[in-house]
Amino acid sequence: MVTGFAHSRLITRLRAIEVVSDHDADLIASLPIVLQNVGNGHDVVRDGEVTDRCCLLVDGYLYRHKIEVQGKRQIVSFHVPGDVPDLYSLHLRPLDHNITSLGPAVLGFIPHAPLREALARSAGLTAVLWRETLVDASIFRESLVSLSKRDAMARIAHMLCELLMRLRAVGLARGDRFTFPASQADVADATGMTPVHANRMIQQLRSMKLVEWEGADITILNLAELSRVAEFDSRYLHHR
Amino acid sequence: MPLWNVRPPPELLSMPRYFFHVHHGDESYTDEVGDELADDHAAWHEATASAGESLKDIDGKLRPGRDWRMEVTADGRGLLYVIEVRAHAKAALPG
Repeated sequence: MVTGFAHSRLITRLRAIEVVSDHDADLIASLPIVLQNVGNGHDVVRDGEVTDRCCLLVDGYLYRHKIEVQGKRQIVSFHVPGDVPDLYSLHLRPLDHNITSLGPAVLGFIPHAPLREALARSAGLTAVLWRETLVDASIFRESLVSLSKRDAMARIAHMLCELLMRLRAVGLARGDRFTFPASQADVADATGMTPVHANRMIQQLRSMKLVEWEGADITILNLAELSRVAEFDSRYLHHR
Repeated sequence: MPLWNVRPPPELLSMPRYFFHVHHGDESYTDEVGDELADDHAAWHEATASAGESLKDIDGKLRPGRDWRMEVTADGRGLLYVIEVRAHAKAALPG
C-alpha cells in the first residue's frame, strides 16, 4: 500500500465534514506517514502514555476505551478509516485512555513535529482539524445520551446506524453492508450492557428483519425502521 | 515438540452453551443462539445482570397479569434457573 492512499483517507474524512482547500490538501499530502500493519487487539496508545506522533487509521477499526470501576472496560468510541483518534495527543499529555485495534488494521503514524509545522502554516487546516475535534465531541454527547436515555435495543440500533453513516461518509460502506469484526463482548462494552443482553438485543433486531449479522458481516435490511428504533438523527455527525 | 504447539483437547477449550429465554405476558423470546460461558455460576451472574437490564427497559410495560420471566437452559441439561417478576395490583390501575 502506498502512503498516498493513507493521505487520501485523511483528506476524504476531513472533506466529509468541511471544505478542504487544494492548498491544505497538498499540505496533508506532504506529511510524512509511516504505515504499520497490526493484528486484532493491538494497543496503539495506552492510558498514561506520552507520544510524539498521531495515528491515522488507514484501514480496519480502532476503538478508544478506558478500564475503570472494578477493572471493567468501557469502549467510549469506535473509529473508521480516515479518523485520527489520538489527535488529542498533540495537546493532551499524557493521554487519558487506550486506543486498540478491532480486527486487523493498517495504521499511519504522523509525527507531531511536521503536523505542528503544517498547522502553523495554514489557519485553514487548523480550523478543519479543530472542527474534526468538535465533531468528535458531538459524537461523545450523543453517546452520553444513548447510554443514559436509550433502551438496550435502541443503543445497539444507534451504534449500527452511526457506523453505517460514518463508513458511508468515507466511501467504505457497500450500500447498506459493512464489515465490523466486533465480538459480542465488544458490542456489550460499547453499549453498556452484558454480553448476554447484547446478544439478545442483536437476535431481536435480526428477528425483526432490521439487520443481518453473520460473524463480522453486517447488512442493514431496513435503515428507516432501524433509525426509528434508534431515534437516530445523523445531524450530530455534522457531515456536509 | 515446542511447548506452544501443545493445545488442550477440544472438550476443554469449548465452554458450555447457555440459553436465556424471556417471556413477558403473551410475548416470548426464544434464545436460539445462546452464549458460551465458563460455568453455571457465570450463567447465573449473566442471567441476573441481563434480567436487571431488561427490567430497566421495561418502562411502564409491566402490567398485572403480564408477568416477566427469564428461563436459563443449558445444552443437554434442560432448565437450570428461573427469574420471575410478578405484578399485582391491589386497586384498579389508572388508564
